[in-house]
Amino acid sequence: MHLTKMDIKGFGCFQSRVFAPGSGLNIVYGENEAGKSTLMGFVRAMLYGLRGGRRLKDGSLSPLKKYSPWHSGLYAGVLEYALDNGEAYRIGRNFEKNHVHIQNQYAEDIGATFSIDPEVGILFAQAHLGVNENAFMQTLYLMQQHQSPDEQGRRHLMDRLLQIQDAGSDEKTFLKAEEALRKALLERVGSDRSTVRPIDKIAERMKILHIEKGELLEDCAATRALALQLQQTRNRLAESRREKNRLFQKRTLYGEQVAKYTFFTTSRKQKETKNRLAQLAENKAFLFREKAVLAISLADRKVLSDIAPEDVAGLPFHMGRVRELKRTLLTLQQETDSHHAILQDLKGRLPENPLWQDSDKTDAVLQAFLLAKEKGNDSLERGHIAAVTGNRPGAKGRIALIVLGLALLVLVSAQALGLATWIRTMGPFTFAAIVLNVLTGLVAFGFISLASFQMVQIFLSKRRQKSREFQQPLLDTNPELLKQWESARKNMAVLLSDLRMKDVQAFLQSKRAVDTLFRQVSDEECSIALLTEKSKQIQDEIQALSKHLADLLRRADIVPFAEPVSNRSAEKGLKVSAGSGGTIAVEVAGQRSPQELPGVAKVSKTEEQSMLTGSAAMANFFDSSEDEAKARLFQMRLDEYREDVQVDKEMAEKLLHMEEETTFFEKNLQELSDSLLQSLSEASPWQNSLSVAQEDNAVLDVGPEEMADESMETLARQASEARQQGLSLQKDIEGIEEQLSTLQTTEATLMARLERMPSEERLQQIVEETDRLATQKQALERYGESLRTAQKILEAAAKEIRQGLSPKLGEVAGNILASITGGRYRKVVPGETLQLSVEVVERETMPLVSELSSGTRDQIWLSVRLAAVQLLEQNGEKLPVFLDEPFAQYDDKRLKNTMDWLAAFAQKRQVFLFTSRYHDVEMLQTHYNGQYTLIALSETNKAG
Amino acid sequence: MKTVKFIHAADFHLDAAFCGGRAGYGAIRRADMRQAFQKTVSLALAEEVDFLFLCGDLYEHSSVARNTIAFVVRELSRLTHTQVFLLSGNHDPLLKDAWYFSVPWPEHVHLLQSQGALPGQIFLNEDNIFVVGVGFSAFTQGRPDFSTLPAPVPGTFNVLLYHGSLNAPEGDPHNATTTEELRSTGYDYVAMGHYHTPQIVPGNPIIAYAGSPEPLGFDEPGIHGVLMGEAETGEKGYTVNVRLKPLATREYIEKTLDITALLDEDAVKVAIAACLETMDPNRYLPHIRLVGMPLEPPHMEPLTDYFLADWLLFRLSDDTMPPVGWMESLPPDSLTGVFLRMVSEEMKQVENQPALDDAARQEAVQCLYQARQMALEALAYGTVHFLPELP
Repeated sequence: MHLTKMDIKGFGCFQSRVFAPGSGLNIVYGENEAGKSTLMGFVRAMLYGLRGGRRLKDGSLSPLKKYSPWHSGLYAGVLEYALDNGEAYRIGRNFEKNHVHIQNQYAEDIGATFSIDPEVGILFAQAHLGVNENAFMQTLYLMQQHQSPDEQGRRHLMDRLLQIQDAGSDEKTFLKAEEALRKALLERVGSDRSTVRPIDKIAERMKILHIEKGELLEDCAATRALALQLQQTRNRLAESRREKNRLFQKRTLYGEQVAKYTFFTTSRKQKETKNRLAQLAENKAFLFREKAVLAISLADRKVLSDIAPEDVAGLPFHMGRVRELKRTLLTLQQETDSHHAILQDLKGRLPENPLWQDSDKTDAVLQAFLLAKEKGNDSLERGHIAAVTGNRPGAKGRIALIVLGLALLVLVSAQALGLATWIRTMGPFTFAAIVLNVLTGLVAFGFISLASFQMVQIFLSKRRQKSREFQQPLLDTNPELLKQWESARKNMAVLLSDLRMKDVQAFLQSKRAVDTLFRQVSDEECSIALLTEKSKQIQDEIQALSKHLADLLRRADIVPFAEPVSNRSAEKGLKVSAGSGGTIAVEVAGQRSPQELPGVAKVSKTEEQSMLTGSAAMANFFDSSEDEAKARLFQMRLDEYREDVQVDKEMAEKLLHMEEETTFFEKNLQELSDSLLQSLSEASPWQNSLSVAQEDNAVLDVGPEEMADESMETLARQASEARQQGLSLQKDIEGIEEQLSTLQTTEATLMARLERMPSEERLQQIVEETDRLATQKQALERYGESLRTAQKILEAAAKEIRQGLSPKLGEVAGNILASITGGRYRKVVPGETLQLSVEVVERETMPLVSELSSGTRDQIWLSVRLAAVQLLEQNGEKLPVFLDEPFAQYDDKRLKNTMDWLAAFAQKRQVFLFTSRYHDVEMLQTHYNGQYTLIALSETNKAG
Repeated sequence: MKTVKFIHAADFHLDAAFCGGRAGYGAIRRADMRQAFQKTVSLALAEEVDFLFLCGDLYEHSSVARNTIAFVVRELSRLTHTQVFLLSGNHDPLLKDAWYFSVPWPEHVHLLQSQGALPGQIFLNEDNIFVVGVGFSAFTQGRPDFSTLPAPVPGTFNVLLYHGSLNAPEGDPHNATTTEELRSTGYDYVAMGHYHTPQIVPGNPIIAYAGSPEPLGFDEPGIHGVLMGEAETGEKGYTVNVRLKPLATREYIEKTLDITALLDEDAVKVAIAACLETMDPNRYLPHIRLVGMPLEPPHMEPLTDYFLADWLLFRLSDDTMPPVGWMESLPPDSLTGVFLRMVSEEMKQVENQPALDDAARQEAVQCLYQARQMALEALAYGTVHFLPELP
């Protein structure tokens, strides 16, 4: 292959430059910065393209920027070359647009026929030159100051040398394969130093999972421990509950014994209370009935309630007063009657002439007559007046007579009665009869004495009255008086005439008699009136007192007059009857048997008789004994009433008390019933045990009411013991309940903690993921192991080849070096990585290249590179070689030797020698004598 | 002649972890495990069995959920006419904090708990059964001392519940025993747990592994369930017959698929789909092993993802080899030729290395195959297509 044309449209310092190199040696001359390296860069860029992007690692510009045209215009060029087989190609590139056109000699675009590297582009150069860019740079492209390649360069060079051993694809290179394996190992597996590769990620993930799994395992262990603790707690809880139940059952048994005792005692109490209540109810009913009767009685006698105490106290006095008044009234009536008799007698003796009746007229006539007459005789008047106003004896006498009669009557009756009694009895009452007769005798003597005294008084009174009636009047002779006299006389005469009196004397006598009669009548009437008035007053007083007394008595249901009590009582449905022993029985209508009224005072039969027989009472009304009886009866009734009121109050209090008692007992009964109900509510186990206990305990075979006291005592003792044991058990129960509470709290706490524990599913997931990752890791490790095995074997294979290739390279390079050095260095020994050693004539050992002078190093590496080019060309094209100032450090002899060798080398391939020194150009021109092509980069010093 | 019926089950591994599969695979499989337990209880109810023997590994000690334990108790409570005997396994040993101690078991559930050196034993007079259990009180246990095993009770149905390895290599840490030892006990039936594949060792007495009622992995293919048994009294004691009653919801299945000469990935997909065509996705959990020499190595990850969408669990493994012709076409002194020669030499060396066991040898060979595959890809394409087979 050789380049035929380099048409630079714009590239670095070049613009619109066209170079036509020769097929052999080309001397490219240019001063510094004339563009030698740019031209070399152009060839490389046209063949392999330019990499763009950012700056390189050393800070230099990327090639694309580095070679951008200095002047505006196209950043492009055309390279034409011909292969050894004659095929010609034209490469056109626009670096700016990154376009490349590959045309064959028929101007056909054949770009699609080549492989494409995403980074490099169309790989036509590799196809035509047989070397990639790196090999090109390390072998064909020998830059100034870079004749000794670096390690990478050496590796690439060796890789290209290895490649020439394979007849297969050009793509097959050891380095590429090694890189692919390394890359696969790094990217798909990872290395010891990697941190983000798959195996690292897996290892990291497994590490995290391992930690998490450890924590979860701890959690699971804690969960199991909790669960175990919970179960143990529950077991203890169950045990405690069983213990509690056992204690409860035991306590229940004890409680049942207590309950039995309580039941029995309560039943008893209930029974007693019921009985008590029944008794109370009976008593209450009885008391109610009594109280009802009493209430009726009290209602009947309600009037008694208004009786004032002074009325009660004054009752005997008033009764005595009434009696006295009535006696007085009787006396007055008797007197009045006697006066009436006298009056009647007197009236019988009064003249029939009515004029006599008209005492006023007669008196007036007489008065006038007497007045006239009296003018001289006052005696008449005096006599007249005395006659008119004289006393009227007679009443006292009658009274005395009555008293006398009464005395006699009393005397006779008492004597007769006392005598009769004395005679009849002749017993123990004889003395009493004698005393009675004596007493009655004395009373009769008193009465007789009183009557005699009255009689003497009456006799003396009549004698004084008779002497006043017979006094005579005196007359005067005065005319006036006479006239008066005459008138009076006429009137007198008329009167006398009317009266058929003979004279005045007669008249006077008659009149005196009549006046006396009239006076007597008047006196009698006056006495009668006085007596009547007195009687009336007494009657009024009696009536008032009687009324008062009657009122009082009536209030006491005592008939003041003949009014039987029984009748009135009967009207009210009461039947009062005398009981034995002087008690009074009251039979209430509707009741079977009469009830004796407690507290009612006994009444004697006499008093009873007196009370019940109104007629007898009437007869004895004025009898003091009856009054006393009535008063006593009244007092008794009153007392009785008051007692009844008191009794009523007491009964009410008693009823109230009974009511309270009933309430108390009812409440007690209710409590007992409740207690029994409570017992019954707890009775289910108790009744069961009761039936069991009944079999064991005869005490329970009988009911509580029938149970003997001894059995109850036994039961009480058992209950007491059971109560004590129950109390003791209660402590145990409280203890176990406390324990239960604690355990329940613990259980709840444990359950809560258990609930909060993380799910085991996460652990399963972690285990699964860990297993999966472990499998992946294992697979990756196996994969990595395979990759490493591949690398190792491939490396071994390459080494084996290299070991076979190195002698060839050393041989060819030694030949070149011997030509350059004039035989001083004949043998070059390349190592596996092109570590070069050379055989020096005067030294036994083979020093490394690095130990030699820089000029010799350049010469050795030039030899090796050119040897490599020759080896690379074995199966392909003869490649162009670009040498940039290669001889800078050569001495003249070795320079000449090298130019001689290059002349021969350039016979078979294209060689570009770049130099900036014109002296070198002249020397080369002289040495090659026209067998070269000069390419002058500077327009000014362009050479032919 | 009296016949008693029983169910022998073991290795439910409730709440075990499950790897692989699509999202929710583990949860679904755990639900399957629960369902298997529920089915077992329902079967006991339906068949009115007298006894239910649960021979260990009922649950996973470290990861079982509280509600799962509650579920077990609830389910067992349904069995009112069946006596249940619980034996602990190496996954649910009777540690101090074992769930067995943390829940109130119904009265008809009997936990076989060893007392010191004596194995757990329960004699139910009414049911005329004597049950002895050799379980686990730790995660690993050596060989049990059979001298402490109580003698069978004459005239009684004597059952030995045993969780452990049978005829295992020396050093097995899981109650290892032998058939001879178990036969020498004189029990009427030896109900085993630990091995997940059901197996009945005929003889007198019958020694039987119920297996896991629901398989747990690809290494447990085939039918799984519980053992239904009948014990009939005779002149020589009890005669026991057991049979496997399938209960499992799912079945792990492995198929080998040769993809030699298949052109591309689509062709491989079609071939795999055809292989899966006859399987019910609701029942089977397939494992397809690719073998042969495809023109290009199969891309496992995309293929696995493609099929996992339709299957609860789908495993694809690559046991293919590069085409031989391509290898032979390479010059022997080229880099590839030298590499292949070296790989072959390594393989021969591995295969002839006596220190390696089969698994290690297989592993090493597989590693060399993969290395060869990847290096060839790297040499040929400058990149490695072969991807790790990640679950």
